[in-house]
Amino acid sequence: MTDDVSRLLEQLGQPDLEYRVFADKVETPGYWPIFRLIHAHPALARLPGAQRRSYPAERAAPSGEGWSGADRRVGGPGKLFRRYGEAQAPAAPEPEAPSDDIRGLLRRLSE
Amino acid sequence: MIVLFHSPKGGVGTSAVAANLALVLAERGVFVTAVDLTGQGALALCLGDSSGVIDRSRQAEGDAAMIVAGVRVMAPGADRTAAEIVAAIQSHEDEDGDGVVIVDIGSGDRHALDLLLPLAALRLCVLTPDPAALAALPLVYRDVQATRDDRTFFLLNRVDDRLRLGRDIATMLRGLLGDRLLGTIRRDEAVGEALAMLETLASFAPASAALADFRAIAGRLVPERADAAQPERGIA
Ligand SMILES: Nc1ncnc2c1ncn2[C@@H]1O[C@H](COP(=O)(O)OP(=O)(O)OP(=O)(O)O)[C@@H](O)[C@H]1O
Ligand SMILES: [Mg+2]
Repeated sequence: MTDDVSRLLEQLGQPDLEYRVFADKVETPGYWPIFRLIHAHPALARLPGAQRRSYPAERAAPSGEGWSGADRRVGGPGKLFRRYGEAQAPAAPEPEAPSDDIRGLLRRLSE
Repeated sequence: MIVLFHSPKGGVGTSAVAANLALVLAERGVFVTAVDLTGQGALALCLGDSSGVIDRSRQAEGDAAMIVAGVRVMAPGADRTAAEIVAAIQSHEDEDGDGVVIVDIGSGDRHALDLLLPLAALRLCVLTPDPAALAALPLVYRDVQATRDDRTFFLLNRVDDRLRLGRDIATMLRGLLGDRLLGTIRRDEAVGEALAMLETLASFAPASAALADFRAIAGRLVPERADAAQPERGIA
């Protein structure tokens, strides 16, 4: 606890108050194995207008530490989901070109 | 315009979001009809109406709509045929050219969704930043409705950046959905508290964070009208 916070809590007469520093907004978001499942899903390739940007933490994929459960058992992050994708998923259709943006759509609706 | 609220995942707040958007649209002077197809009567409750809970016989039935907090509420009975439901919804739309018809469809009710999608201007899919809702996301695009896909947009509800996993999922969804994400609504205790008080969010907690988010989304759906009149309040 920083000095200014403990001083403030004392002033408020709340020395027992639970206190935690919340993460900075600009911190790199964590990457969870389920994200790979979602990103790889062929149905989502049909999402028109979505940017399907590559996710920063995905590009900087962790090297294996911190991965748990099924992912580690199959030898690394994402292996399980990749295997699932190959075995069961039909070929992903080409992502459609973004048809329109939300403003365009709403403009059309209000006309 | 007809706006469908449907999520592949139950419990994400679809009814709460539908009702609160109905309220803030009415607040802007839009003529709003809210249609509850879930059979739960949750929509009227979220509008701050107690009569459906306390006395089910007073619940809005069929076309005999009641007005709650400036929103016309309809709950077609379970005995209605699909054609009757469609006709009732369309009749509400036709009467008021620039009105908005909000339809709350239960998460399991693919039938109603398929029936109404061809009539709808928008389908808003509510998600929450948790793994179960994330895993349900591909279901939205399970059966590609090529002609309707350009009307599906998402709302992220119960966003709470204090929780690590939720924050990560929200960030991932913002990247994945891009322009398809119409807005986010913060997790806010006042949403449930207003329900418990049988009040609208605006009357119970005017400073509510979720209320500000609902208003921002309403502004994106329907631009401010110069002649916006305050709708009548109270139960007709
Ligand atoms: N932004 C929010 N902040 C806090 N609580 C919320 C928020 N949105 C919804 N809730 C609460 O979440 C719970 C579920 O909401 P709701 O009944 O609207 O979900 P639903 O998706 O319609 O569920 P069902 O699938 O049963 O129809 C309710 O207790 C509601 O008050
Ligand atoms: Mg509901």
